[in-house]
Amino acid sequence: MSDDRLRRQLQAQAVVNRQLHAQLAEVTAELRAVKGNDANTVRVLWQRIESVLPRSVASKVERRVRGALGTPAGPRRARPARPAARERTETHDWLDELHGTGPLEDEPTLVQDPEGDLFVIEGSLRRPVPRMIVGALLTAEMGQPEPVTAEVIGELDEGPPVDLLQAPSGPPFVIVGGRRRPVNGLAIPHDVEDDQAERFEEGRPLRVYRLQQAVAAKRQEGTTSSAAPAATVVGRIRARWPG
Amino acid sequence: MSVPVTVIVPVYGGLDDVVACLGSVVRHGADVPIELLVIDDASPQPEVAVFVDQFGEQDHPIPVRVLHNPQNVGFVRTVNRGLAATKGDVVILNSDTQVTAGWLDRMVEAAAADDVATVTPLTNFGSICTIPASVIDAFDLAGDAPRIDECAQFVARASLGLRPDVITGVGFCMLMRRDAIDVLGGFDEETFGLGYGEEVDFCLRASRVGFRHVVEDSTFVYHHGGGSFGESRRLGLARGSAILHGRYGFFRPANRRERTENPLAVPFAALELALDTRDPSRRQVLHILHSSPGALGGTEKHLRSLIEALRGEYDASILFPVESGFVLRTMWFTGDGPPVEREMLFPGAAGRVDKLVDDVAAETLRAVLDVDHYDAVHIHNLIHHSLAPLHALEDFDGQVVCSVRDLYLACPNHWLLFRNQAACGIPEDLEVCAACLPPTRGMAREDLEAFRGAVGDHIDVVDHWVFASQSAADYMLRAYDLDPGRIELIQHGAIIDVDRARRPLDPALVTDEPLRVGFVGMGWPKKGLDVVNRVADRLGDTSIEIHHFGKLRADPSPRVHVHGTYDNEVLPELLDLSGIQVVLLPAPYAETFGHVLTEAFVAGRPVIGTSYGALAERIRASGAGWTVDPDDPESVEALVRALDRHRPEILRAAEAAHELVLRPVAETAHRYAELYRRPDDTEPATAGATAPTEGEPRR
Repeated sequence: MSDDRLRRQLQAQAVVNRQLHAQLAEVTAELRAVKGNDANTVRVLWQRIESVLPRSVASKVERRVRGALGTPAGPRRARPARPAARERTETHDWLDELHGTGPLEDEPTLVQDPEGDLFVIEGSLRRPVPRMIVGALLTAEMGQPEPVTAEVIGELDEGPPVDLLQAPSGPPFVIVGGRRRPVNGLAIPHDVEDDQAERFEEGRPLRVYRLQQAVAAKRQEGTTSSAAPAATVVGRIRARWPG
Repeated sequence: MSVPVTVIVPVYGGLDDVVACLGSVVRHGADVPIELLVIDDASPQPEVAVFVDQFGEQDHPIPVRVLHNPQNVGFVRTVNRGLAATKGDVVILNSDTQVTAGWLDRMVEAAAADDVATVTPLTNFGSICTIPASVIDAFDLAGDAPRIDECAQFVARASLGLRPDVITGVGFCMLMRRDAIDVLGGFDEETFGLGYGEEVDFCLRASRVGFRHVVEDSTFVYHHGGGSFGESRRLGLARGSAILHGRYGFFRPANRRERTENPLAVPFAALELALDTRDPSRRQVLHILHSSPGALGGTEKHLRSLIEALRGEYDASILFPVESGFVLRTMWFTGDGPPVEREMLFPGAAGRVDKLVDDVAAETLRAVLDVDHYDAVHIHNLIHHSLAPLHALEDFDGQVVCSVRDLYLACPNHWLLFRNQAACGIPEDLEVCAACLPPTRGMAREDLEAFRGAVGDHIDVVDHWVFASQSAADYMLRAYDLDPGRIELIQHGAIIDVDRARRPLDPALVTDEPLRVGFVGMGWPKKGLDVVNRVADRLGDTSIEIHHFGKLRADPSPRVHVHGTYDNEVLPELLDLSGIQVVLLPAPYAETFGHVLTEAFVAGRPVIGTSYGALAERIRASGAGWTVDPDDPESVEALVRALDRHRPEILRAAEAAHELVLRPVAETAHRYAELYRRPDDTEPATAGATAPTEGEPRR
C-alpha cells in the first residue's frame, strides 16, 4: 500500500474514531445527567450505547461509564462464552420495583412455607429466596425462618426474589427491606480463559440445587418441632397492611 | 481461452433502465473475458422483448446472448436459469443499474481468493454498500442527471481499496464465484419466489461452509433502485426478511453487530475526506493546544483570533487532548466562507499523561505530522502533552514556534507559587523547589532537574520563543539559556472587539459614586481571592464596595459582591452596569500577559495589579494604574483607601488607560506569519506591517 493510501487510511480511521468518541461522549453525558435511581432511563441509554458503539469499543468504555453512573443499574455484559446468570431486563424490573418502595420502616421477616421454600415478607409482598446461599445468609442475620401456612403465603403479593446482585464496583449484595445489603466473604469463582478451561475433559456436573434441596429438607425437619405459632406471623403481617 | 465471467441481467419491464444498463455493460467491457446474458422474464411490455432481441443481434465489443422465458417465472428462477446456462463466475446485475469503467476487472480481482463467494461494489442505493449521502449529493446521484462516471472515477481515486468483509453481498450487482455455486447450488427458488432475500440466503449458506463475502470499495455501480419490482418492493423485503430470520437464528445479532461495527465506516470516511481536499499550495500550521479550541480561556480565544487573521495565507490544524486521546481539528480555508472543519481522534489516554515524555503523545504527533504537510508547528501549551512534542519535532523540517503562555516549561508547577501560596520567582536554590514540588506536584527535586534537563536537551527544537511580555521572557531565562536570537516579544493583542467595546470611564461615576473595585477572573487564591477577601473585610467600615466577576473556586468574603461567570467580550459593559471604577488584579501568580488587564483598559478602567510579572510591566509602562504586593494585603487596603480619598488620581489613570494603543490580535498576526515561514521563504507579510506597541499614546 502506498504512503499516500496509508496516510488517507489513517485519516479516515481517525475520523471514524472521532465520530465514535462523539457518540460516546453524548451518551455518557446523558448518563451522567441521569439520577442514580432512574433505572429505566439508564437502561434505555445503555441500549443506545450498545447500539451506537462497536462491541470492541463499548467494552473498553463500559467500566468508565459505569463509574460515571455511580449506580448498579447499568447491566452487566455477560462474557460471550459464558451463560448469562440472569436476564438483564428481569433484574432491572426487580430494581425498579424495589426502589419504588424506598427503605422500609418495619423490619422484614424471614418465613418458610410448608414446602420448605423461604420468603422474605416486606409489607404486603412475599419475596421468594431462591438460592440456598442467600437463605443461609439471611437466616444467620435474621434468625430462623418463621413457619407460615400456604394460605398465608398465598394472600401476599409476589415480589421480586431476594437474589444476589452485583454492580460494576463493590461487593455482591442483596436488597432487603429497601436497603442494599453487601454480602461480604462470598466465594467468587476465579476467572480463567476458555482455552485454559477446555484443556480439561468435561465431567458430570455438580448441581447446586441438589445441595439446596438437601439443606431445605433438613431445615424442614428442624422447623416442624420448633415452629412458632403461625397466627403470630400472620397477625404481624396483616397488621402492616393498610386499612 | 479461459471461461468468461457472465454478466446475467434478468429483465422484466423498465425499458429505459434496461437500455441504460445493457449499454453500460457493453460500453465499459472488461479486460477479463466477459459475456453478457440477458434473460427477458416475459416482460409485459412487448417493446422490451423487441429491444433485447435487437440488442442481441447487434455487434458489440463483448459477446451478448439473449434468452426469453416463455412465461414470467420471477427473478429468482430467471437467475437460476442463467446460472444453469453458464460455466464460470457470474455477476447478477439488476436491470436498473449502470456499470462503470473497470468495474468487472476490479470485482474479479477482489474475488481472487479461494474462499471468496461473492463480491459487491459500492452503489448509491444498496443497503450496506450505499456510499455516504455527502457523496451522493456531490455527484447528483439522486437527481435526474446523475454524474455516474464522475462518481466512479472519484471512488476509484479516493478509495482505500480495503475490500472489507461483510456478512452478505447485496443483490443489485453481485459477483458469484462458480466454486460457491457448485457447492451450494443456485438461489432457493422454492422459498424466495419473486425475489428479496435470495442473495442473502445464498450468502449465509456460503458462510456456513466457510466462504467469505467482500465489498469492492473502489468500484461504483449506479443503481436506480426499486425500478425492477416497483411497488412490491416493500412487501417483498418484509417477507424475505422474515424468512431469513426464521431460517438463520444468528443472522439478526450478526446483522446488528455489523451495523455497529460497520466494516465500511473507514472506506466511507475516506471518500468523505476526499470530497474536500486541502489546497496543497496553501501553507498550513499545526497548533498544539492543551484544551479544546472552543473553550472560553484566553489562550483559546487568542488562537481562534490568530487563525482567523491568518486565513488568507495559512490553513490551520489544532491538536488537543481529550479524555480518549488527542483530537486533530483541521480548518481549511477557501474564500471568505467558513473553513472546512474536520476532527480526527488519535486514541490514547491523554488525561493520564504523567510521564516526562509521554509515548502516546509523541507517537500521536508523529502520526499527525505524517498524515498531512505542515509548514510550521506552533506550540501554545504543552500541558497534557508532556514534553513529547519537543521530542517528536526533532526531525520536523518546518519552523517550530513556542508561545510561552505560562511557565510550565520552567516548572511543572507552572503557577510559580511556592506551595501554591507565594510567588517563588523561579529560585536558583533548588532546595526551595525540593520543599514545594512534593506537596504541589508529587515531584521530587530530582524530577525537576530531570524535567529541565529534558527541556534543555531539546531547547533548540524551537526556532522561535514567543513571549507576550519581557517579564515572561525573564522568568524563562532564569531556567534556560535561550538563544537571544530566537526570542520574540509579541504582545497578544485584545481578544475582544476593541472598536466596539472601547469606552472612556464616565467622570461622574468616579466623582459622584461610592468607590467600587472590581476583582476580575477566576475566584481562587492563585488569582488573589485571599487578598481580595482580606481587603474587603478590612474595608467594612467604609462605603467602598468590592465586586467579583468570574467563576468562583473558593469562598468569597460576605462583603464581596459576587456577579458570577462572564464572557470577556461583554466585560466592559458589565463593569459599566456595575458602576466599577477600578479593577483589582492582585494575583500572586506572575501573569505572562493578562488578557483581563487589556479588557479593563478597553473599558477605560485603571487597574491595581500585582507588582511583578506582566501586569506590573504593562501597568508601569502605561501609567494606567498602580502596582501592589499581593503578600501585603494591608498595602492593598491602604491604596484603595487612598484612591477613595483622591478621586482625581483615578481619573488620571483612567484617562491614561483610555489613551493607550490597544490592538486586536489580528494586528499582531503578521508577526506570527513571519515566524511560520522558513528562512528561505521570502513571501512578504500580509497584514498590519507596522502596528504600534501598547504603551504608546494614541495621539
